[in-house]
Amino acid sequence: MRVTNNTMTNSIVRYLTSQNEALYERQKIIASGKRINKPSDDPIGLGTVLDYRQTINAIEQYQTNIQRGKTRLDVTETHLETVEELLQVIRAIAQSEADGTTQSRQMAADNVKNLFDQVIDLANSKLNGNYMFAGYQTGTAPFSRDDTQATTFDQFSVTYNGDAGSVQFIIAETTKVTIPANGEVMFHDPAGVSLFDTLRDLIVALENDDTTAITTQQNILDQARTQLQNIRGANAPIYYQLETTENHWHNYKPKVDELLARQETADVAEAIVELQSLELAYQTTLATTARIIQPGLLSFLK
Amino acid sequence: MSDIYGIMSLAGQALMTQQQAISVTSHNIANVNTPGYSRQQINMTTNIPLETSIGPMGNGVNGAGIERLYDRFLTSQISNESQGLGKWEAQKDAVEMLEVIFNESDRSGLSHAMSKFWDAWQAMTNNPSGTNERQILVNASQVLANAFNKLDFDLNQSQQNLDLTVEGIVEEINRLAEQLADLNSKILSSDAGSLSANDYRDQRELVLKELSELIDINSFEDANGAVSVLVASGRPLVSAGQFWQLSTEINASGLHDVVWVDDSGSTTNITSAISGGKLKGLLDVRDVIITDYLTRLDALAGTLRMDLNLLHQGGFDLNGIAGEEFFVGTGTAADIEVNPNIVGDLDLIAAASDPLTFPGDNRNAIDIANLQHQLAMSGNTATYNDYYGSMIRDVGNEVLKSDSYYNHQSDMMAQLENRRESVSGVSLDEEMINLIKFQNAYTAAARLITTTDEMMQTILQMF
Repeated sequence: MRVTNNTMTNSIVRYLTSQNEALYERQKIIASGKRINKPSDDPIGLGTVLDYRQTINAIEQYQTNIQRGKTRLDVTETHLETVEELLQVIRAIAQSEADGTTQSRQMAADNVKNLFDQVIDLANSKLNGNYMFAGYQTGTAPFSRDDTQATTFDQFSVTYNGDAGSVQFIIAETTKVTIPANGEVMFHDPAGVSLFDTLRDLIVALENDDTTAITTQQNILDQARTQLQNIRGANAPIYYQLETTENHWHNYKPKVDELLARQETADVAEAIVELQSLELAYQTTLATTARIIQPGLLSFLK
Repeated sequence: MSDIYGIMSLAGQALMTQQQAISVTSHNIANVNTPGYSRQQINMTTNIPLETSIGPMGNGVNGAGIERLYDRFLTSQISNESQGLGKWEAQKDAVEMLEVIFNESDRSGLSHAMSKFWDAWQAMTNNPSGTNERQILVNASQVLANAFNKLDFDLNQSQQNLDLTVEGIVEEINRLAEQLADLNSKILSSDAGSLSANDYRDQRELVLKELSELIDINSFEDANGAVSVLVASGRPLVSAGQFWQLSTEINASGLHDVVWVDDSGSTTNITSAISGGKLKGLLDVRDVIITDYLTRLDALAGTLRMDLNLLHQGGFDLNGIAGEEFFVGTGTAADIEVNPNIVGDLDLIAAASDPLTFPGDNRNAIDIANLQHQLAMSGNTATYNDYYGSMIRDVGNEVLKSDSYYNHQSDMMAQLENRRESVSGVSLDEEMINLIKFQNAYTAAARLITTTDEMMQTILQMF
């Protein structure tokens, strides 16, 4: 083949351009630390990267949701536990007053009234500004007293203002957990025992010095306590489920992180080795060019 | 019979011919870097021999003509491949620009905005009455809507830019057509085989090549040496000294179609008949690729808006009133926007699924948050995220495809150019050798004259 000056220069320009391009690509990989810097670097790979990122994002959100759920359960548990302890105190009062004097029963009645206040406060607990035991009616205090003062004991008659709603948390793509928020079934169950009614009846019995009624209330107090224990017992598997799922995400996320890194992150060592060999090729081309392109016949004439 | 004057005139002619050869050589050297130049050489032939008593006697040299060295087949091949090169070059540049628009490799694109949007809905399920959660949701929704708007705007902007380029290329084609007609006239009027015709032919080939890069053409040279050019299934662009013009007309989508203008000034739309060159590459990206992305983006924004609104309007806000549209707009990516009422009053986000269960009910918010897993797109086979992911994949693949076609085409072109260069290119070494060769011949011819002169002196001294 007849090779002219332009054949040479054109080829050299082409070689140098393509070598520069390759150098630039490697530099970009090393500088960004990423293998995929634009969709065309690996279209399928970028699709996978987006999927992994989405998954990681979702897991982080599930973890937040689970934390919120656990907090909610923890707080619920603490409140119910306190109520149960108070019930034990009241039960002990009722038991000792079964054979108490009129005077001691009067003092006990005052004592129970205070404890009643505390229980109703607990039943009206808030979490993040929302009433916890009001079903969906989180903006309204779930338990209110009868303030009409028509009779002496009206203020110990309690009305439930909430509804049967519960709280749901998304903890995985298709899994929701439901945490009870219906205060009525906990404290004022029309189908079971009403804790407040029991306390009111006890106060009435103590004030009226009614030994039979005091004894009766002891049994009902036990039932109320069982009712609370059942509810607390039902929360345990929910907590367990939250805990298990949290552990799952905790173990799973690093794996997805690793998959993402493997897909997205550049092997910098490899890129540097490639860069070095490209550099060598580039410098060789430059050196060769410098030797070939200068001399012509012209340089050797005369 | 060869007399002494005969030798003198033979030497004179030799001197002249070698001088012409040096002149051709210097023309070659001067044009070593002229694009499209084909090296020329002088054809030397012997003169008609003289009949003498001892037989035919050589009668010296003369320059029979100057020809350029070129390969007609190679030239037409280069012209053909230029159409492909132009097409893929234009397409590659255009889709690389689109790739920048769709850049999701950092965490700033639509995909990220969409993830954050769904997260915000989930966060709201944790505290349906929380002002913070509601505000974060509105912010994330605005970011998502803006991401849609921006993608749509950028795609439209690229489309407009390509449209401007199309107009520019049509003007360029017209300029080249005029130039071709002019060169045709010059070639027809100059003597065939003359030096100037060679150069005009080189120029004409270069213009033809440039034209091929812009649009697919059919060209052929007639017996007189004029080149005719046809575009878009047989419509004449250049014939001898005459040329026609292309122009543009605005089509239904507000973009420019390419039209051919006939002698009477009436136009024919040739947009769909264009099959090569930069024009084809640009039209493909402008009318097919970008239009497709815009349609898909609209489908995504429209479906998301519709599905979300349907659920949101089925829910109830913090006042127990049925939800309004969450996203407003006409169902396109261009104008999707968070309902300004909701932006103004966060209570209007409908998280509850019953008019009486506010503010604690998060069931509707949960349903909406779960939309992200719903196979809502592509005939219920893909989630919103999958759908967008497939768009990104297509953008990447489109760039890879144009890139590899372009590289293939440009390698092929380089090969052809090298072949052309090996036939037509000027080699300075070669020209230097020729220069010395012709110079030596010139010196020798001059010496011949001196010798003849001495011979004549000798004869004159005889008297």
